[in-house]
Formats: sequence, structure tokens, C-alpha cells
Amino acid sequence: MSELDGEVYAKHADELTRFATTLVGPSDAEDVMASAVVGAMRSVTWSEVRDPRAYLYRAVLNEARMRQRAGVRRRRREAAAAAPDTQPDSHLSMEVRDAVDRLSVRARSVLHLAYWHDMTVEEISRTLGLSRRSTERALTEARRTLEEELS
Amino acid sequence: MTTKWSAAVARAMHELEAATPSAPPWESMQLVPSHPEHSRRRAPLLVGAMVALAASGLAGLVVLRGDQPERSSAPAGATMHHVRVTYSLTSDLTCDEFPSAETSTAEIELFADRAGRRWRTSVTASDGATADLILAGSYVYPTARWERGVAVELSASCPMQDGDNLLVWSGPTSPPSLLNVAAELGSDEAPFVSTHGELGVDLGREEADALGRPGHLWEQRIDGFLTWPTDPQLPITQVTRWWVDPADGTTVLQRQFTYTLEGLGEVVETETLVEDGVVALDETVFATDGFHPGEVEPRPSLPGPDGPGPLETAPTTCASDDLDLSQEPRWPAGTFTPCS
Repeated sequence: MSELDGEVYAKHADELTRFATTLVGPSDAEDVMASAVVGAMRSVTWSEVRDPRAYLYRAVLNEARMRQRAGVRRRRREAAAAAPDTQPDSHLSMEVRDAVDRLSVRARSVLHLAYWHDMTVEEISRTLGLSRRSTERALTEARRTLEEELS
Repeated sequence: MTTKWSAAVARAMHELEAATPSAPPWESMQLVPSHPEHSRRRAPLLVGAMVALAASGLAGLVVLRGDQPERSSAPAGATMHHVRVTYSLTSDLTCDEFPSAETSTAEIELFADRAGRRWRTSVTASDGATADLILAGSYVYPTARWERGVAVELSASCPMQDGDNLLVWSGPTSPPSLLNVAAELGSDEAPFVSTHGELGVDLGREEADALGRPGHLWEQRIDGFLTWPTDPQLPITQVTRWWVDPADGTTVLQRQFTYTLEGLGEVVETETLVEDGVVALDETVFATDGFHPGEVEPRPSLPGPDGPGPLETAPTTCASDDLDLSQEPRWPAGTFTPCS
């Protein structure tokens, strides 16, 4: 990874960590963000990427989806063997954590970009490589679920 | 986006923001392995692949080099199979909030270099979204996988009064299950694949498929349950129907899954074979430029010919989290691979 990569990282690290937190929660966010960024920057196609920011957002989303699958597998094994870890993440109420847990990773990603970056459906679709319809559905799902759970 | 956010959404987003940890410093990123789990697996898998290739007389066709994709030096005149399938997901559901009736479609293309053990699938949804996947080593237990785009997920779902969105079915999977998967399997995999002959019953009649071709009908019916956290199990019946080419008795021209949910309605998945031909091998089809490496699972040991029942036809296909895997109807009981 080059010095230029370091500059790209410095520019986007904070927002990607925030994004990862929305997708997988605070405890796994750093790990997901780091794995995604390193994987992206070490790929053979990284030098040809025209929009590094969008590419890194997608990489974080992909990593989060993989972790979620592995995480659920792990949680099922752990649940069968022992009581789950009940220590709450600081700043994050159990109510919010449960509500966010009900959202798909895709819905979390779409909501994050719409809320924090004020992106339109078209911009979110382009950034995450989703269809417009999927994006709209995910956003509707996210809003409705959070409103039902937290109102 | 000029959106007025509710207090609930704002609360969730701000709590998450406040809980966000600091980004790790750039210096520490240099020490992060790309995919530690992959690295641990890669060595034995590649050795295994080489041994398998050597045993089958194909050694030398494939050069494995670290993270680089497999490069095939195909001989002149080499060919590959090109298969095109149309996929449709139609739902007619009576949901709590409003009826959900719609059809989503996609086109699935498969390029199979069977000699070189390489496959590429491209799924294009009707809205233009595309997802490409390149697999090497095996279609069902690939030793390497490259992905591009975001998996096309067509889904049939039902908004419910309690705020949940009941996912009834989603597809196609990635990689897509194949109408005629046996053709893509190695000699040690093929004996364990269940076909319509093992799974279904012969209805003893022919019916035209979606393209008007006559097909000999086979059918399998399974009763199961769809589970949902807030509800008791919802009875679901899956009827799988195969339209088999009467000319050879083996080629599946069309496959249809009809899921009937008690009190809710019906979801129908239809896969229709549009094209199945042989074309000249085109190396660019398997070029992984612009793809990113995906996760592969180690291949489990296969049961012996006298061992337990048949292997599922697509072990990399996973069942939805929303389904009770012990009774999920799409694959034979006990053989499901959960998504997560």
C-alpha cells in the first residue's frame, strides 16, 4: 500500500468507521473497516478504481455482510454452548441495538447514506451498486422498522 | 435528499454515531492481513486442487499463484458451454397492510469451461442490476471465487401489521442453482447429486413449458413450516415441478417451485432454459479484472457410494434465515446449508 493510499485512508477513515458502526455495531466496526480497506487497497484492480470513496463504501458493505453471516453462525454456536455476552456497547441503548438488529445490513447501509450524507436514492444506488428499487425498499424497511420499534 | 426524519430514526443514528470507535491509524493498517481466514485455508486447498488436477490428467492447465486468479492456457479449438436461463419470481400474497402481487425477473447466464474447471455466472435483473461470479475448481465447492457487482436479490415479501417484513422467498442465489447441475460436476461429485428422478415422481404426462416446448413432467411435494420470530410456524407447501426434455429424458427444460403459505398466498419461482450450446472458449469471460475475491468454504468429505443419502445438488446454496432449516422445503431434509 502506497503513500497515496495513506492519503485516501486519512480522508475517508472516519466516515467509513461510522458506516461500519451502523452496519455491524461498535465492537466490530474497526475490524470490518480495516479488513475491507486493506482488502480493497491490496486488490489488483485498486489502481484502476475511479471513485475510491464509493469503492471503499462497497468494500465495507461486502465485508459487513460476510461478517454478519459468519457472526450469526458463531452466535448460534455460542448460544448452544453458553450464555450470550450481555455487555452492552457504550452509548448504545439496548433498545436501539435491538431495533437496528432487526434491519438487514443493506437497509442499514442505505439509511446511513441517506441520513448522514443526505444522498438521494440515485446516489445511494450508484455508491453501493444497488438497483434503485432495492434501495427504495431498503430505505422504507429501515424507516418503518425503526419507527415501529422506537416510537 | 430533503427528507424529514422521525425522532426514532434520528435517535438510532445519533446513538450509533456516539458509539463509533476511532478509526485505526494508517500505520496499523499495514499490518492487517487481507483475509486471515482465507490465507489459512488457501494453502491446503490449492495443494488439494493440484493433486486433484494431476490425478485427472489436467495438471499444467492451471497455474496457481498466490492471490492471482487461475490462468488457463486453453488449447486452440477449445470450447466452453454457454447456458442461458430466465428466472421469474411471482408473488400473490395477502399481506396485513396491502396485497403484494408482483413479478420480478432476471436472466442468468452460465459460461462453463468444464475441462478447465472454471465457471462464470452473470445475473441481470430486469432493472439492469448485474452480478458476476467466477468460480474455479468446482461449481458447488469452489476453491476460488471472484465477485463483481452486488448479488441480485429478487424477493417476495409481505409487510405485516407488527412492523415486520415477512420475507417469503428470495432468489436467485449466488451462485445460482442450475437446472442441470450434474453436467458441471466432477466425477467424484456427480454420483451424490439428486436429480428429478430421485427427488420427484413421474406424473406420466407432458406439458408445454413457458417457451411452448413439450416437457415430461416430474413433481415433488414437501410440506414444511416458515418460521417468524413473532408468530407460530406458518405452514408452507412447496411443489417442485420439472419439465424434462422427452428426447433424452434427462435435460431439464424448466423447473418451477410453488410455495403455498396457509392464509397468505402463493410465491412461484420459475427457471426456464433458453439456450444451452457450445461456443469457442473465450478467455476474457474468465478474466477477473474488476472482480474482488470472495469467500469459499472448505469442501466437506463426501459420503461413500454406500454411505448416507444423496448430497444436495447445490451445497453452496443457502436457506434463508427466516426459514426453519430443519424443515425448509427446497432441499432434502438434513442437507441445508444456512446462509448465516
